Order: sequence, then structure tokens, then C-alpha cells
Amino acid sequence: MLDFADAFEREVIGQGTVRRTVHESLDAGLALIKRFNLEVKL
Amino acid sequence: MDVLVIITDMTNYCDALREISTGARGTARTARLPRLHVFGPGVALRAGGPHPGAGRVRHDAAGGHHARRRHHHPIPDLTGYITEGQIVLSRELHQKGVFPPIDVLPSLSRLMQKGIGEGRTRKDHRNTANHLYKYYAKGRDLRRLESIVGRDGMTKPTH
Repeated sequence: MLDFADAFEREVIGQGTVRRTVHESLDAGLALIKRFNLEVKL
Repeated sequence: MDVLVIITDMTNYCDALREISTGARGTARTARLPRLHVFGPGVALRAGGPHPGAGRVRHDAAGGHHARRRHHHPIPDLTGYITEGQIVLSRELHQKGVFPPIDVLPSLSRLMQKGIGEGRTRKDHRNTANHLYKYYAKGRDLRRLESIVGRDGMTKPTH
């Protein structure tokens, strides 16, 4: 979970100077959840 | 002529008012904090401009409130009651090079719940956001333990 927090800050919160859309941000978050094999209850 | 006013630190402003109030009334300084819910909106509206319909400042300089990590100071704390949302900036994230350095855990939007979901953003918006928030909060919580025992001393992550 520590690694997830680090990656979340880097890849989801952080977006540099790119203006991401809401959809792109959600996709980035979902990709992270998938990469860390975390559960998403739909 | 348009004039942009940026209040860099509402907390300092309120502390100054408290000092003046204390001096004038001679009462205990802790009892003389200004009532932000009374004058705060006025400050924000004045900053928005004198012309009706010209727009309003809906979000004053939230970052300034926390400039010295005084999250529990009564002024930034009370600000939450008069705004429709607050974005908390993180010195720690800034130092890590994360941009924008937004601390998502204490940040909030009262309008979010009505503005997301199917037909607005995406059907899975709320669910995805809730899960990300939950997992990130767990990670942040574990960091406190990590600061004591070190990352090598941590066991495998639990979900």
C-alpha cells in the first residue's frame, strides 16, 4: 500500500503541465488499481 | 480596469484582527478570534469586484491558509464552512516534485456529488474515486508507521 500511495501521487495526482480530462484521470486511477491488483467493487 | 486581489494568507489577516480586537477590548486573546463565517464571505465578495453580475470569487486563496502547516488553526478550519469546496496544497508533494501538489485527503468539494456520474462525467466516477481515496488513505496511514520502523521493517502490504 505504501508503493501504491507513492505511485498514486506520482501518476494520478501529478500530471505535470498536461491538462488531463476527468476521464483520463479516472483511467489513470483504474490502471493503478489494476497494476497493484487491488479490488474495485462495481 | 480590472484589479486582481490575491489574499496570500487569510490566517495572518485574522490573527492581526484578533490582536487589534484584544488590544481594544482587553479580553483574553483566545476568545477574540474573528467570526470568519460573518466577515469571510464579505472579503471574498469584495475581492470579486464591485459590479453586479461581474462574477464572484468562489474560492479564496486556500493555499495561504495552510502556509505554515497550521491545519488545526481555527481560521483555516472555519473556512471550510463558508466555501463550496477547498483545495489543500501540500508542501510535501511540492518537495517531491508532484504538480499540482494537491493533498486530496483533506480537499473536498460539496458540489462533487451532484456533478459526477452517468450523464455528467462517467458512471464509474464515484466508485473509482472512492476506491482510490480508500487505498491512498491506507498508504498514507502506513507512512507514519514507516517513519518509525523504516520501509524494510514493514511487512507485506495488506489490502
